[in-house]
Amino acid sequence: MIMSPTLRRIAFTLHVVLSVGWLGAVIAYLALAVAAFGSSTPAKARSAWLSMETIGWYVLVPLALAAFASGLAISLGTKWGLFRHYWVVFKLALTIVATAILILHMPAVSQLANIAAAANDAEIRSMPSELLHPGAGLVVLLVITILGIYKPKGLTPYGWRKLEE
Amino acid sequence: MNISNESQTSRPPTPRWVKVFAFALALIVVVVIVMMFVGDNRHGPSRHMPTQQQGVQKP
Repeated sequence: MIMSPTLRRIAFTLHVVLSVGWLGAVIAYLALAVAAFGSSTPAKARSAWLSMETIGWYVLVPLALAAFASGLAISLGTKWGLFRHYWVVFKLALTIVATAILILHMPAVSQLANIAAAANDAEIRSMPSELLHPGAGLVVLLVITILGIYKPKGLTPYGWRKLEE
Repeated sequence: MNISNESQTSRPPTPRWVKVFAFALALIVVVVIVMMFVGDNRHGPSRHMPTQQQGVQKP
């Protein structure tokens, strides 16, 4: 089903808002990860771990799922399709991977936040670094954003078949 | 040589950026898998925890 121009604009605006929100939330999460790892104040590190759990479950996961769903709706509701253009395929694949890793990783963050909540100052200082996941996630989201903005040319074999129909 | 007629009847090759992108992604996936399963079989919070706290982890 092809969307009407009005519906397409609404869906596109929603998708941009959700995607930019996801990107911003990852940057905020990264700042908390830096605070949790690099802070010399145990209370600050402890609160950073608890905040990471909250942001993760209540901001990152919902925004990731909503951005994925809105992107899916736009792809299926416009001429771009889901598997016609390579940039859409890559964007879809990277979004699925990033969302899946986020959801699979969040229970570990909850576990670490629980440990941080009960840990003494010495244990807080020996807590692990949480920089890798948000750092890699930020890079993936930037790549997704660049693909969405530049839309590099290239039709998939399926896209060519649909074009010839 | 009639390029316009040819382009209408034959599909162009896969763009170079797609090949480079796919190769880079495959490389990253392989590196991540190797890091996860060869370097250290445990992946998750227990992997990062200090020794004295690993005993309280639930399986």
